[in-house]
Amino acid sequence: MKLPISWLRYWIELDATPDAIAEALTTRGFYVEGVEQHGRAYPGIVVARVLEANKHPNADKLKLCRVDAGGVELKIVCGAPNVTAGMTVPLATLGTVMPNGLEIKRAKIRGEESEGMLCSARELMLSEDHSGILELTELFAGQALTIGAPVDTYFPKPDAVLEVEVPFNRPDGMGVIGLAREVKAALGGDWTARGKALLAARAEGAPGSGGASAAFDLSIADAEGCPSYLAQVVEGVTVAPSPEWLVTALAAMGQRTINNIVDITNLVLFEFGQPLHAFDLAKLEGPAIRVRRASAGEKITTLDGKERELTEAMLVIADAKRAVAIAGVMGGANSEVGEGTRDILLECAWFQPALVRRGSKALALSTDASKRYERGVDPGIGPAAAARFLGLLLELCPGAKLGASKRIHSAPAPLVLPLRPSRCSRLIGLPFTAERCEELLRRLEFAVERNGDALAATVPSWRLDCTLEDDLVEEVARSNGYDRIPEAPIHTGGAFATRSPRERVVRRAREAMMARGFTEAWCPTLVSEAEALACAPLLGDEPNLLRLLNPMSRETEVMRPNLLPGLLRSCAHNLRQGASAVRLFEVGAGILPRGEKLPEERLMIAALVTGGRWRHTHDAPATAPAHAYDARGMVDFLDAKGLWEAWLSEMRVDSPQWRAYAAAGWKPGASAEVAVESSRIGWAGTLGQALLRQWEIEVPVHVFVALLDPLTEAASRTTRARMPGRFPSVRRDLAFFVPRAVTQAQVQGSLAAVAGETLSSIELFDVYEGPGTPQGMKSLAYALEFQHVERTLAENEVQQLQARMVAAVARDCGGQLRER
Amino acid sequence: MGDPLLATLDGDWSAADPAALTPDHAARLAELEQLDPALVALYRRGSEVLAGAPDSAALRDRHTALLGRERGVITLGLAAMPTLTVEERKVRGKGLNLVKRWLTEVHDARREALALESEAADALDVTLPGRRPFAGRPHVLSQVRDDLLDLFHGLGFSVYTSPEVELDEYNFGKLNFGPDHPARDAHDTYFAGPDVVLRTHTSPGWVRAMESGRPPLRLVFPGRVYRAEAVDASHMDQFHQIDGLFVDRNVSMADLKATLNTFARAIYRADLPTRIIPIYFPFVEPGVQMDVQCVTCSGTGHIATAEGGKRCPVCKGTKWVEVLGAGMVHPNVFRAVGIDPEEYTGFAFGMGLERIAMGRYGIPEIRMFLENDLRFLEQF
Repeated sequence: MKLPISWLRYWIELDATPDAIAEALTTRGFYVEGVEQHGRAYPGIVVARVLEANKHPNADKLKLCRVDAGGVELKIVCGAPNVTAGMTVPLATLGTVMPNGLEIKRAKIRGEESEGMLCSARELMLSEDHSGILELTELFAGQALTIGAPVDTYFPKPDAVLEVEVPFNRPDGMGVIGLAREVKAALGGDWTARGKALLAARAEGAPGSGGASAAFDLSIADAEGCPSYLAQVVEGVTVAPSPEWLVTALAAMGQRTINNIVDITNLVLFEFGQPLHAFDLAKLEGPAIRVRRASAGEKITTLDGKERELTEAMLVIADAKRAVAIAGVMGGANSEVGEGTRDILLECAWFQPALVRRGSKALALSTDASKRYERGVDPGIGPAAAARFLGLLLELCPGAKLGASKRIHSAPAPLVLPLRPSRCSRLIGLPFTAERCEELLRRLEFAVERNGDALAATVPSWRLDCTLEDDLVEEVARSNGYDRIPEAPIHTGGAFATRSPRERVVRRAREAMMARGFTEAWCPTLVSEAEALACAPLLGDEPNLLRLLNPMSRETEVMRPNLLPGLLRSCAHNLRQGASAVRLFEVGAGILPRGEKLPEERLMIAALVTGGRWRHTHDAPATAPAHAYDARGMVDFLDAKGLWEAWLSEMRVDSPQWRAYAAAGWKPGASAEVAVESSRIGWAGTLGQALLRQWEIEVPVHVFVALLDPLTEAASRTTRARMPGRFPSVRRDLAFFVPRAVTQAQVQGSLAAVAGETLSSIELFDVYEGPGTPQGMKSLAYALEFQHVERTLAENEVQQLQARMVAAVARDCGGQLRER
Repeated sequence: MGDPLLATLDGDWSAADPAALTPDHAARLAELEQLDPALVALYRRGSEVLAGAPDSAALRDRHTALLGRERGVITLGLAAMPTLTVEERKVRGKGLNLVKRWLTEVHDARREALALESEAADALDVTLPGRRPFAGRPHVLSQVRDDLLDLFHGLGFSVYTSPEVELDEYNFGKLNFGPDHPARDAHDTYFAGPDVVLRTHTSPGWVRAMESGRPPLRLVFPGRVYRAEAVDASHMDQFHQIDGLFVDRNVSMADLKATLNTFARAIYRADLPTRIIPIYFPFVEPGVQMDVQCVTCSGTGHIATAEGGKRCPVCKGTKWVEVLGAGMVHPNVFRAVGIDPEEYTGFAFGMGLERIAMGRYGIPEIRMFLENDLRFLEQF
C-alpha cells in the first residue's frame, strides 16, 4: 500500500518528517519498505526572462545577459550555448542553495559582475540534460508564467510516498485513514477539521432529494454472504475525464485514471479501504439489485473483457435477469459506466471475506477490491465512505442530484473483550497497571471500561483482527513500544538440551565421510520423474513416487525416493565445469509412499566418487619403485569399496557382510549389498553406463548408500573392552586353489568358522590366476595369525588348526591347499 | 719401516686427505713414539688409509684390512705377540688396543662423512607438490546450521525432527490458519494430496512436539521447507529454516527478547544493534520481527559511490535487515494441542538459513546452495 504524505496530511495534523512517520509505522507493525521522494521544492529560484544575451567582452565561450526577474533587472554571466534574448528561464537568485548543495553568491567572472545563475535541467535535478538552460515555456507548456514568480508555483507540490507492507490481519491499513490512525496514535496529533467532518458524514439510504427516477428493487438472497448493502442512485451525472488533482492523487497510488466516476470510487477505496462500485442504472434490468449466489455455469463478462464461468460457491450482484458483478471482486461489462451514462447506482456493501476469497481464488482474479474484502473491510465505514463519494461526485458533476436509495443492513454487535493487566504483564514481561492499559488502548480508539483491575475494551469496528484477550495484549505491547520490553536473564524452566542418538549418528556419519575426502552436498529434494525412476530401482524400491499435484516444472515434479538423483545431478554439473574428480555425499531422507497419508521419510547417507585416487599427484620416477601402485590411476571398484569399508568401520559396524546384488541401473557384476546380521543396511557399486548417460556422465561412477536408522542402534551400543593378547602370536600363510566361482568371502568364512577364537587375524593378500593354476581354479592366499589369550600356543596346536582349516576349505569350497 | 705390521699395508691405497685425519692424540702419540715407533707409524698410515677411502665400499675393504676380526692388521699384530719378549708384549698389547680404538674412531668418522655425502646426492626437490588426498568440507548451510544448533544447544534447546511431507492440518490448521485464511496466500503451497502438503515452514514441528511431550519444552526445529515459487537469484522453492520453541509456566516477551539478542550477538556481532518490531503471523500473538542493523551501509541507508552515493541496495534505505520472525505462541495453537493457555505461555521463533549464510559470506545467489559446485563449496 502506498501512502503519500500529502494525503496523510489531508486527514491528520502532522508536522513530522517522512522518515519519522516511516519509523513510527514500522515500529508499530506496518513495515515501511521505502520512502520515495516525488518532486522537490526550489526556494530562491524564480521565473525570469532573458532581455539581452551578448558576448562576454573577456571570454569567447561566456555570455553576458540582462534578465528580468520580475521588475528587477539583473546582470548574469552564463556559459550555456543556447541562451538567447526572449527565453523564459529558471533563475537562481543570490543566496539560493541549489539541490546539489551549492550556494549562489555574487561573483565577478572575467571582470564582469554576475548576480545569480540561470539553471539547466540537471542543475534542478530534473534530468541528466546539461546541454543548455531550461526553457520554462516548454516545460510548463500551456501554463501562463509570471516573470518573477517562484518556479515552485508551477511544479507539482513535492511529496514523499511511503511503501507500506500491510499485515494480513490489518485490512484497515489498506486505506489512508487506517494508516492515519496508527500514525496519530504513535506521534500524537488529531484529525484535521475536514477529516473529522468526513468521518462523521453519513449516507445511510435516506431518500434522495430528487424523486424523478423510478424506484428500484433491492433484495439480498444470501444475508450471511452480504449482511450490508447500500444502493444509492445519482441522477444526471456527466461522465468526463477527471480533474488534474484526482489524476495525480490516484497516480501516486499506482492507479491509472479511467473517468471521473470510476476514479472517485477508487479514491474512496484508497482512503477508506471500502470498495465501491458504480452501475449504469439504465443498464440494470428491473431496475433491480439482487445479491445472490451464482447458479452453476452462469457466465459473466467482467470489466477486463474476460468471460468467466461462475459456480454456486460465488456471490454475485444481479439485476432482474443476469449477474452484473461478481460480489467484491469485479463488475460486469454489461452494466459498466461509460460515456453515455446519465444515472448511476452506487454500491457500498460488506461481503463475507471467505466468500470473496473463494471466488477470487477460483477465478484467479485478485483486485484492489477483493484484496480488501477478503481480509475484512471495516463494517462501520460504509456510510462515511458513501458520503465521501457522493460529496465528491456532486462537486465534479454540479448538475447531478441524489435519487432513490435503499439500504439493507444488519449491524454486527460491537465486540467487548475483557483484559487483565496481569495477563499483559505476564506475556510482555513488564509490569502494567490497569490505568496504563486503558491509556494505551484509548490511543488506538478502543472504548475502555475499567472496574478496578478488570478492563473491558470495545473493539473498534475496523479492528477485525482483535477477537481474543491476547490480541488486546498485543495492542498494549505495540502501543507501549516493543523497544521498551526488557531482556530477562535466560532461564530454561528446567528443560535441558540433549543430542539424540540419531543426531549423533548423523554427525558421525558426516564426519567419517568428510574424513574420506568427500565434500558434503545439499541436493534438491524435488526432482524430475525420469531422474527418480532411474534411481529408485538401485535400492530395490518399487517405482512408487510421491508426486506433487501442482509442480512448478517438469524438473521438480516428484520427491526423491533416495539421494542419488541429486548427487548425480551435482556430479554431472561438476564434470561439466571441468572437475577431474568428484567426491560428494549427502545425508537426507528418501521419500517413499507407503499407502498411508504421509510417506516414509527414510534417512540415509549416499556418497559418490569418480576420478583420480588422489586430489593431486604427479610422476616422481626417482622415488616410485617400478611395481608401485598406480597413484595416478582412477578410482576403481575396490578403491571405492575401501572407502566405504573404512566409513563402515568408523561407524562401528561390526563385520558387515558384502554380498553380490543385482538391480537395474548398476553395472552388471559390480554392485553389492551390505548387511549386518540379517538386515540390509546399504548398497555399493559401480553405476551402469545406461543410467549415467541420462545425466550425460561418461566416466565410471561408484556410489554407496547406507541407511542411518539401523546404524543408530549399533553406534550407540557400548563396547565391552577386550584386552590385546600378550602372548606371542604365530603367523602362517596359506594359499588355496578354489574353483573360480567361489568367492573370497566363502573361503574366508569357511576358514574362520573352524578356527575359533585362537585365530586372531585373517587377511587375504594375494589373488592369482595364471600359469600354474589348475583349469577353472584361482589361487587365494591368506595371512593367518594365531594367538591365545592366556598362554603361548604350542606348535602342534597350530598344526592341528591348520589341518582343520585346509579340510574345511576342501569340504565347503571344493578347494585344495596350494603346495609351495 | 720393516715392521711386518706395516708391510701388510703395502699396496695401492689412494692418498689420504691429511685434513680429514681424525684427532691427533698428540700426547699419547708422543708417549707411544718412545715405546713403539712402529705402532705410531701404523696408526698414521692406517688413518690415512681409512680417511682416504673414496666411497663406502672402499671403506668397508680398508676396514677389513685394518680392523677385520679375522685377518685385519690389528688382529694379526695381536696374534704375532707370542713371538715377542714379555717386555715387548706388554708395550705392544697396550699399544695395539690403543691404535685399534683410534683407527675405529677414524673409520667411524669417515663412514658418517660418506653417508652424509651419499644422502646429499639423493637430495629431493622439496618444492615438488605432495601426493595429496582429498579433503572433504561440510556444506556451507551445514556450517551455519551447526553453528546455530550449537548455540541453541548451549541455551538448552534440543533438536526435534518432524516430517517434510506434512498434513495440511499441521502445516496450517493447528497453527491457527483457518481454511480461508488470507495468510495462506503468503505460503505458496506444494500439494502432494488433497490434505497433504510439503511443509511451508518448520513450525508444524511445534505442534507435533507439543502433542507428544508436555512442558517445559525447549526445542529447535531445523529442516527443509518448500514454497511453490518461481526460482530466481533470491528465491528457491526449497530452502531451510530453524524454528525454536520454549513453553513453560511463565514465559514472556522479555525471555524471547533475551534469546533473540543472544542469538544475534553470537551469530552476527556482539555490538550490532538489533530491534524488535510487531509483525503478524497467525500462530503467534503478539508477533515479533527481529531486524539487525544493515551491515552493508552501517545503518545509514546509503552507500558511497563514485557519483556521490546511492540508496543501500541491501536494506533498500531502511537501515535494517530482517532476520527472523517470532512471537508468543497463540492461545489457539495451545488449545489445538491440548495445552491450557492460562497455565502455560511460550515463545517461538523461526529463521532462514540461506538468509543468514548469504549475509555472512556475501553470497549473492541463492541457487548456489543446492547446485553443489565443488569450487563453491570448498571455499567455506
